[in-house]
Amino acid sequence: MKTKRFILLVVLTLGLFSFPRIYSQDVEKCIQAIREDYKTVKSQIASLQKDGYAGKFYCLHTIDNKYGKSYSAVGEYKEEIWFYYDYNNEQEDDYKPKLRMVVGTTKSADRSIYFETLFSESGEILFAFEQSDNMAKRLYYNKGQIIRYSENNVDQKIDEITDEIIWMSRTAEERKLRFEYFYAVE
Amino acid sequence: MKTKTLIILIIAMFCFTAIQAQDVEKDVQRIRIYYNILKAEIESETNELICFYVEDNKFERQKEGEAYTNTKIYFYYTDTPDGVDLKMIIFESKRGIFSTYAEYMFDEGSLSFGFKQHNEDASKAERLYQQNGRVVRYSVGNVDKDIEESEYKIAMFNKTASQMLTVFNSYMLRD
Repeated sequence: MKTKRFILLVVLTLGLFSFPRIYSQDVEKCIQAIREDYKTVKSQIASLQKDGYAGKFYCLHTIDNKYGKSYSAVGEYKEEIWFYYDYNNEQEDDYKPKLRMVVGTTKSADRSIYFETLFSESGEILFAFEQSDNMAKRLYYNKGQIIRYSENNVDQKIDEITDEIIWMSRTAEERKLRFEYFYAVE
Repeated sequence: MKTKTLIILIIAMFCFTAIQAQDVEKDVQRIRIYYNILKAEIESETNELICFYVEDNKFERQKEGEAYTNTKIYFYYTDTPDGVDLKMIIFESKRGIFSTYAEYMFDEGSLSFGFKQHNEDASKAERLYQQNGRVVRYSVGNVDKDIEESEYKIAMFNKTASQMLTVFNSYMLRD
């Protein structure tokens, strides 16, 4: 009886120690898959101009302050966003556009921001990137959960939700919403 | 006595209709003046109007068996310390051989004038004049239509304008 209990204790202890490693391996696998998807989508976007009518994605392009007018409080302001999307051809009854990537730049006074958001085929956020001044922030997601957050390629703790994470996630969601509003117009 | 009352009633009705028609003309005239000022400002680009521009299908993708599509929307607005104020939307769309041109003019957030024309056919061009959300005039090919009979078309006009306004407002939430 004592031996059985001992074996059970050993198995439980080993299991407990190996859990973080398995979890970490899963995270690495997810991130690897996201990176592969990101590369594919980026290369398809890069050739859109050249591919013309045969390109992989449709593009919705927006320019706020197209003619460079002065803003009352900030002075110089310009935002440009490219929404890359496709349609689900397999299901005829579901003719909704599938947003795959958002790329944009915002110039406000002396501050510039470059951002990217990658979405899965089913519309979930996979990756969000933001670069401003000397800071590059990356957020990786799996099934709606943040699995990694890094600043200038240094991983940050994600057990504490910071304002930075909330802000980046919220803006990524908002951009998707903007795209959806556009396609709701009859 | 009865004849007298009837005559008075007819005259009163006639006066009321005439006054109403005058009011409509005044409202339409006011809208037209505002429209002309705004259009001149947009064309001259020498004013405070800011343009938010949207182009769909920028790289002209076209799948086999599908029509070519391209949409351009220009939202003109002012930016003041009190917030943004949308003034005019210009919509241009092409789908295969079909084209649509539309304009939506706003006054304090409410649609005051709408224009819609398909395939450059002026005989079917729709015009909607509204004052504070109240329909003043609706015409097709410059022929005035009965407002009640055109209820559905007017509702569609307002629905599209409201959806466009939602698009605009969603972008104006600065990141």
